[in-house]
Amino acid sequence: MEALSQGFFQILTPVPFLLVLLGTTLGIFGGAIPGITGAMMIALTLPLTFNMVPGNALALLIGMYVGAISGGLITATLMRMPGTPAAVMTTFDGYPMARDGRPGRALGLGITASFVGGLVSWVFLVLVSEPLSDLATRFGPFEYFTLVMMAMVLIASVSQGSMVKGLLSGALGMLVAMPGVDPAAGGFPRITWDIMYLNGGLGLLPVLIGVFAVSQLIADVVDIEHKVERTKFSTKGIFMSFKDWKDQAWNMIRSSVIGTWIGILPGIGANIGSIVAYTTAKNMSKTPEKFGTGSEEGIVASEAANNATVGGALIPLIAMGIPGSVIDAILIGALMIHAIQPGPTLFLNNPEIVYAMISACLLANIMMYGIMTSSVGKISKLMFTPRAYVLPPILVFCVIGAFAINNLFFDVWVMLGFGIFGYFLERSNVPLGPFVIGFVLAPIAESKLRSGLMMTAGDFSPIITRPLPAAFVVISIILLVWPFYQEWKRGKKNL
Amino acid sequence: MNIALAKRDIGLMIFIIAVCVAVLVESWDLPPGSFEPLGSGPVPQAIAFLIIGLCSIILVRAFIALIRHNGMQKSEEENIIGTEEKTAEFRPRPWSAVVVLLLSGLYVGILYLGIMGFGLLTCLFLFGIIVFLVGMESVYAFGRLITTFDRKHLAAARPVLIAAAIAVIMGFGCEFVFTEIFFIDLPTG
Repeated sequence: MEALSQGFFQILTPVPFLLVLLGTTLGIFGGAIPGITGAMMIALTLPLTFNMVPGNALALLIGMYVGAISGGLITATLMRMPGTPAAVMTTFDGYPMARDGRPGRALGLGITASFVGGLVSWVFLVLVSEPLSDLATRFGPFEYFTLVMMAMVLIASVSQGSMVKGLLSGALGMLVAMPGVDPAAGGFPRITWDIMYLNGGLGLLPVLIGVFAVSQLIADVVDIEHKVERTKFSTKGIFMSFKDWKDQAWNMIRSSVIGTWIGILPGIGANIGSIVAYTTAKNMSKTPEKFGTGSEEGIVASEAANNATVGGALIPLIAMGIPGSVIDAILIGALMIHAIQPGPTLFLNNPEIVYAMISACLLANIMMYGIMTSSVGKISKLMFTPRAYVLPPILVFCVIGAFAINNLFFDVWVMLGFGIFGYFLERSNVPLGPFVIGFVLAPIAESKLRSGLMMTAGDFSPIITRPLPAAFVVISIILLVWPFYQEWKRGKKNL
Repeated sequence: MNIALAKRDIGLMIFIIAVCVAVLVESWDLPPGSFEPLGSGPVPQAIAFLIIGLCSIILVRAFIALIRHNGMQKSEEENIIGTEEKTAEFRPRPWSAVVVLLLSGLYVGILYLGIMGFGLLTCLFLFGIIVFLVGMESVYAFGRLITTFDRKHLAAARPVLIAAAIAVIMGFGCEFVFTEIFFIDLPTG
């Protein structure tokens, strides 16, 4: 508790406070502009944090994370176009309400639900992350290796579309992490094709910026003539009444807990949390027929859950170094860039960073509520900015971001190459989330497996003889087999 | 399966398999580990084999979809195409993306060769791309505006003026902010 209060004092000093404010504001604006995602913004901001103190850098990025997930609500409600993938479910009820002449109320419900979702998940973050980290410090290499593999299978199995494509995406990310000096083999380079620049491996940032930002830019340029439907905006009903609080309390808390839980599961992001909470709210509602036509419960469930995944996803990141979502994978990259080892020892070695992150998460939620309720009208105007003015400057930021890491143009070419590759992956419905998580987790998985084998003189059997690794393997197999079993069952029913 | 998706899948999977084969060839002669049995090679090789396996599944599915599609009646195909055309909400501009990527390649290439400094080149690059994306009509209107000084062309020429403003602010502004505040060494030319 003392460490947490110290973290708060630290985050309330002028520089971190202003960075959280800046991050949250930029995140909301970015989230509100269609085509700019949280992952894209954070990947682009990462190079700007090189010269910052690690705690300040993470405060900025976490502010941006919270802001971006929340900002998507505005576009989803006023334009029927989710600003971020996490706000997809909000479009179903937010837009009909806005078209019905109640945009302020739809946004008000969404903003408040987002705030409550953020607070509930923050409480879990404070209560769960330290005990979980204690537990994870007892993990041996095989426990860690099987946990990482389970995370990979989990994200592939729940990613939208085909599971085979989800697995392919994760495996591709792992393969991309392979070139470069092999640390376990005494600095021997592998898969470099004698290209000197590949000795250091493919950089995290060029790959991230390419896959998330450049590929999105290409898609946006292709669809640049896409005209969006818009509704008129008024702030009437932006604050919830006591009756609203009473009516929505249970829905809000339930959806927040669902969002937090989904966030904790490795690799699953805000969009899945939002879908599960929305479906649960619909199933438990007295008026399920209203869902999809402007249901207040629908907006509350979707927004409470997607914001709750932020705090939830930070739990495995802080406690075990396992990303709870794509943005968390980027945050792991941020920790590594600042020479901080993510994982169970983070609490022991860098408690000030951990508590700065936790405090920034709460502060960003409070700021998000204040910024969105006070200036949602102004933000809503920004989202109608023609994309022709927005996309080219982002492309310049991508080039700077990739170049700035090592002052190498090779990284810029890598970024452009992965941008094109990412675009074609998306066009083939191959999800990009598993790719990034595979890229971040592959070196951890490989080093843990090899150090485990070193300890056991090449014996693989602890993977199935030790209880935790065996449990992780069994869960992974179930996750792999379950979708195929369901498909087979459906096919049998149809016969 | 959507037939266009099947065709895209085939192209992409063949490319990925080719990359995996290159990885396998490159990693085949890696020495075994000194302290543990795996060494550097087996992990990338296992991943490459896994990817080839997954790609093969997707390829088989895509080929089955193509074969089924080819067996369809011509009239059915026409019906499908007709429906797709009716439901299209906007005209995609893939060639615009190609032009933007080519210009980006040129931009990075010029920066690499040091022919021009970051600020000025970024200014020109942004102006060019924005004007290209908003359409050439605004450039013609701008031309008419500066030759005739007739204010009725101002509205149509506005995108060019906005593009110029964004280009100058972003080009020189970024150069200042990144070099003076974030201490990033941008190419000076």
